[in-house]
Amino acid sequence: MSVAADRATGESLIGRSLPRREDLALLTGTAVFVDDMRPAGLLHARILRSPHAHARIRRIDLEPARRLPGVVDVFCGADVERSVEPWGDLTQDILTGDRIAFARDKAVYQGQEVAVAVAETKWQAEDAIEAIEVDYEPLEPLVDPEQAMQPDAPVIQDGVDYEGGVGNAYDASYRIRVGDFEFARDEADVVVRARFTTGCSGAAALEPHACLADYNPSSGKLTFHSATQMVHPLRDGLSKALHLPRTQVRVVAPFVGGGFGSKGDVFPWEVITAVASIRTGRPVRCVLSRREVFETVPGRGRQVRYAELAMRADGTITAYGERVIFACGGVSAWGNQILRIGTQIGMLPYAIPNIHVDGFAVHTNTGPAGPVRGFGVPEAIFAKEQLVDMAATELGLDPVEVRLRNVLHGDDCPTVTPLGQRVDSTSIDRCLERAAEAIDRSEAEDVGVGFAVCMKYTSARHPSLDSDLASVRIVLETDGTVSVFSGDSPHGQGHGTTVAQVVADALGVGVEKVRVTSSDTETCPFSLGTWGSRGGAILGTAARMAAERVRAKLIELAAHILETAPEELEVAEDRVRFVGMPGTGLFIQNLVLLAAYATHQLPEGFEPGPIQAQATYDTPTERERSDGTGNLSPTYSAAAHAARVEVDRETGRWRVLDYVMAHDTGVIINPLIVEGQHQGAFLHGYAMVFGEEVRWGEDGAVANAGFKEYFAPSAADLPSLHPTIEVPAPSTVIPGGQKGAGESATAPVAATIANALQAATGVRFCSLPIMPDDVKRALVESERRGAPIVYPRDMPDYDGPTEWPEPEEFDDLELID
Amino acid sequence: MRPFEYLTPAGLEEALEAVAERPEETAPIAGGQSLLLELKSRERAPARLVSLAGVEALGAVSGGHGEIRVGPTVTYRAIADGEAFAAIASRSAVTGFLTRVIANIADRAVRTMATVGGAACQAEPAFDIPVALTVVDAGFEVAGASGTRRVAAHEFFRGVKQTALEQGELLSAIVVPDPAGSWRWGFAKQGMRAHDAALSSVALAVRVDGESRVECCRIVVGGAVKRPSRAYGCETWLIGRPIGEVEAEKLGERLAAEVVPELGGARFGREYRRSLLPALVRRALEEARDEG
Ligand SMILES: Cc1cc2nc3c(=O)[nH]c(=O)nc-3n(C[C@H](O)[C@H](O)[C@H](O)COP(=O)(O)OP(=O)(O)OC[C@H]3O[C@@H](n4cnc5c(N)ncnc54)[C@H](O)[C@@H]3O)c2cc1C
Repeated sequence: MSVAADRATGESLIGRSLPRREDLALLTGTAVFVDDMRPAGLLHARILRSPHAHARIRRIDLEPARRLPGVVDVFCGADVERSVEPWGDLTQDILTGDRIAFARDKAVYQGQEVAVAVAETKWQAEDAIEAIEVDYEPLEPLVDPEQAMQPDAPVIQDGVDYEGGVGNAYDASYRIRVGDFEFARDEADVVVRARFTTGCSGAAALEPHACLADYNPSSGKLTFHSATQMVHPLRDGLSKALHLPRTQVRVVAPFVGGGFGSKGDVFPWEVITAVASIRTGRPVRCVLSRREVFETVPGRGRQVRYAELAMRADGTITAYGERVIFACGGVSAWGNQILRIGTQIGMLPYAIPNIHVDGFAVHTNTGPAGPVRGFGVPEAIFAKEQLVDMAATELGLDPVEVRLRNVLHGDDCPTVTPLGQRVDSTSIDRCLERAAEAIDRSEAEDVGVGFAVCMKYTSARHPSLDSDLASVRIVLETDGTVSVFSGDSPHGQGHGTTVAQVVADALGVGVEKVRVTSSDTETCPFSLGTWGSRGGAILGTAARMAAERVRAKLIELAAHILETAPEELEVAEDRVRFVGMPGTGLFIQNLVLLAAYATHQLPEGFEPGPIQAQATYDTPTERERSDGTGNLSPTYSAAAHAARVEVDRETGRWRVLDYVMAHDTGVIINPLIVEGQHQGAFLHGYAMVFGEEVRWGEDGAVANAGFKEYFAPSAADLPSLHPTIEVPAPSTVIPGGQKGAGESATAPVAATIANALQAATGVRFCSLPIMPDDVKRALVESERRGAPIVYPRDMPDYDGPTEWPEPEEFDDLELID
Repeated sequence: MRPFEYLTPAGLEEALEAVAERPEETAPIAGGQSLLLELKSRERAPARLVSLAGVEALGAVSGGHGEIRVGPTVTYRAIADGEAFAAIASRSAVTGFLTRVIANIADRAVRTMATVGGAACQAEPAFDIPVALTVVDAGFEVAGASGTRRVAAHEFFRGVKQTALEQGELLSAIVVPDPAGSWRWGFAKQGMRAHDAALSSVALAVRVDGESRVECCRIVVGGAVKRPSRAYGCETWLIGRPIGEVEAEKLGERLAAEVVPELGGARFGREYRRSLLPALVRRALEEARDEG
């Protein structure tokens, strides 16, 4: 159906699968990324990084580099000590003081910035950093977070004072205390527990991190292009670090080749590149190599969870307890936020009455941990949803029945969980039923079926950030076209299409009349950026609000001209017309022209000039309370997944034969885009199980800093997916009914597949990723013991509320006799 | 990467001169699929690259007299698409075997550029080409200033990224025997992802007599070992057995016992690589049987 036809019928643009407007440029190779920009006089920066995970820096000699041909500037931390300050404290309560441009006295992870060279060509810059001489005194690296927490472990960030920190556990204060956990556990009919670990999926966006700083010495203005997910927080962070007024810093993101969370920060190389441009007075670009990305860009971070779940004989979950240790790498970045939000949201979709969580964000001598699709929720779900299966098995209950008994029910909404989460609407119960109907549960040798359910926040009020807003400005142009300046920073989500649909729908104009500009601090109003499944719901609401304000002005003006009451009028077909009467009224174009060129025709009090409006939507959410409770998200999307998995006992390889996803995404603006988000989000969850993991050796060096050995699955490694089953339960908080779409399909995948693997083999896999050699080893060991095992480590009997016994290590196994 | 001079000789002689001129700082480049990675990381930084792409003689395929000569710059794509061997009337099924192996290497983008000779000269244990060329008992023609010599597969592949090539020499042809008699081949590999090189691989060639008994065979293991390695013990065990009745499980056990894995990767250890061998040799055997 063409758009023109719809304009005639006035049919809504919401729920229409318009093709993404972004795709033409991407498919024809005309899209411009940071690395495609060619400003005159461009210089290239290469950063010298610490080869050691933990080392004192005794001396840095830059002179040999300065003498090389083509080299324009070389500097290190000592040179910028007074001009650059640590950053990260823009927001409230975030732990700061360790976000710095260069390691000064001590490097705390392999790949940390030590010095930079700026040259006419990339190769000359590379030669220059090779010529820099650094005298390191290697220190013992702390790679394992549990070892880093030992009282006698040396403190990695010894110069920084973290409130609420204990040794390397820089945030040791995370607690959830709901109900009476111990009483509930003692009363329960079955208590199950295990130690779960999740690996660090890296930042594997196709476009590596890149920025281009262009400082104009005559105006003193810095124009900064970056592959970022958040232009405004980056502008504010850069300005603060560099002591520049915000009027003098403009941040723009051109096309960005994916981010998945990993491009949402103020990074050292960004600050360094800006300084390089200021020092040289020339544009400077820095593009990270793939190795640098894997070593230094925050990945998911490793988590260790000692978790237990209590259940009554009828299958009711009565209590959940966890001790969570989050390896955050050498600097604090976003780590403790992920621990907090991920764990809290990870308790859904159950209303568990008694919860006891102790969480620790811990420094290690590894690359920093940060947001990656799912923001900690997949890790929490991986543990909890397996414990649900374990308890169900002990009680002889069906995994679907047990979940149906415990999930929130749509009929009970709105409801508030004991954790304080106000769930406005949900269809998770229906999603689970639909997924269970759709999957083939028949028995076959070495084949198992698994289930998992989750909820995912739709944006969130971060503990560190008392704000959850997005802004949009709309200007009607004098030819009736619509300029939209959208605050967030899309990098593949299709805002240019989705936001246009929302605005066109609210203004009754053809979607082709609407043009969306994003990711430019000079033209777009302040927003927090694109992350946390917030675009459709939060930005979409701001767009709708701004469009409604513009619409009210149009109707006021038209009512005056047509000498009628505003209630008689509506917008449709590019006009303001009489309600339900096609072809009547005035074209919007004429109204805009009047306001600009015939101002004597305007009603009294009507502001002449461009018809425009700006709106900000800040979600009605709460801050996290000290007992861990609170409603951090305005609404919650939900997913029930089911997998049918086959295991090859000989090679240990597993294969997904069938995978069903049933989702509640509320009202969907563009189903095509949302389906793409679900499939991409599934891929991220699948990758966590399949093999994506940055691995650090005992020396803290990354063992697989490239796609050759970082096992990101390719299209050929993925199962084919059914179209997602959507069971919409429109949000009653978000005015248009939308819910987050970007991450709900990541969260349950690892647990779903692990549960299916258990059904197929009897082995309970408690560590991600689950790779063929793991499976093989577990199967051989099960056979040797004559009973299925928990892999990789058996948890002996547990009998204390907080003390966890040391797990038993397996010896190296002979895989074949 | 570092800046380099890029030479594009049109003939073999010119190419040989270019390579021999300053051999320590010169590298031939075929498809670049391995070399470019080493250049990017500065693992290697030759000042001169000699492209072999324009040397017609190195890209030719011809057959006759019981052998097939494959130019080293023939791409995987040309073989996988059936183009390279189209005009060859091979009397055995060896071209079909090589086509099956090559069509399964990496992905389309890599296959478009990568060459058979490049993979042979790169001589990485995980690659399929060295294993496949060893099992078909290929010969390698090496051209240098003093003429051309011929090297057998087991002499050509010397170790991890090590071949019989001396500095300044070029691989000028790969000679694949096209034997009479009923030879059959099979190949199986196990990588992590669809496009990954092998953790372990097994290739098998058997000739059977009129009663379908194994008369002669070669079993070659790759991936876990430094260079393509024959499993002579298993070969001996196989001789005389009717091909249809070989107990694959027994063969697998023997192979896993005979082969000592030398290489473990950053992730997959030797034990795991060894444990794959029974499944791989069974798959290779099945392929060889099915082709018969
Ligand atoms: C993503 C990816 C996946 C891959 N997966 C697989 C796989 O599954 N299985 C597999 O077997 N391989 C795999 N490969 C490797 C691939 O087979 C080799 O990279 C390729 O075949 C090398 O051929 P080339 O023509 O590109 O060689 P080049 O890179 O051009 O050359 C390789 C080396 O040989 C030298 N050389 C080339 N030609 C000659 C000559 N005629 N005489 C002397 N020296 C010469 C060069 O100087 C260089 O040192 C993969 C590669 C990639 C990039």
